[in-house]
Amino acid sequence: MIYRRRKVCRFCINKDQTIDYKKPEVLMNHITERGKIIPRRISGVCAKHQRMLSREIKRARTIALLPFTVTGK
Amino acid sequence: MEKRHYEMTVIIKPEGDSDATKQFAERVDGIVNDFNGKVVELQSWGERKLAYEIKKNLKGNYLFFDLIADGNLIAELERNFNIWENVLKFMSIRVDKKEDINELMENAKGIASLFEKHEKKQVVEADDEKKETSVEADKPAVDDVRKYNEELQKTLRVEDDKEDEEDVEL
Ligand SMILES: [Zn+2]
Repeated sequence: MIYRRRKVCRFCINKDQTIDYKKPEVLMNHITERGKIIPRRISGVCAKHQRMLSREIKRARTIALLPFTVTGK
Repeated sequence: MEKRHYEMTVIIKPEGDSDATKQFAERVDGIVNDFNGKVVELQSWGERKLAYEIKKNLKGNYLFFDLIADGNLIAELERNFNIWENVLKFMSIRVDKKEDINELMENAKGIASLFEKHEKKQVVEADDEKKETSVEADKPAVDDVRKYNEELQKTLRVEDDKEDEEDVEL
């Protein structure tokens, strides 16, 4: 699968865009179809925001707002 | 024990009527008050499709509590959630917000009025659905998708202008 790589962190550009487990729609753009977190070398997200993304995605998974990684198949 | 600010999300079995939700919230509120805590904010996210099956359920009824609590209260709530059969899953998160905890507790109006507020707000939202109001405090993420996508498009445009993208194989 080809992903378009960006070198600018979209959360640094758009300060209003909160990273929150209560907003899974935002987080959903940062996981693959199989539920894996998209690495920042692909998404272009800076280290600070990637840490927040990873924390909030894990929270959202805990309360079934996002899937855990789909294995096998 | 020191009081802190917590967010507690609870998924209960969808029963199909709002009375069950209200009863559940009142039960939680009872425990919170017994332990000198306070429900500052209560949100009903309604029935949502679960991202994965929990105890054979594909849908869950989400309730979100903004709480002032100490460790004992959180432990007591979690102990109860583990026993109550209609609880599918729950998560408590300690938040380090800047607000003054005493002030929050004093201003909290009790869950009866929180429920009232929630119901009123739903009516308001139904009335002017067309308008993009800023009355979003009570609503979870669901409606933010379009806004986010618009913002994202803006961002993408900015980036496209810079021509600093390359294709990478994942
Ligand atoms: Zn950033």
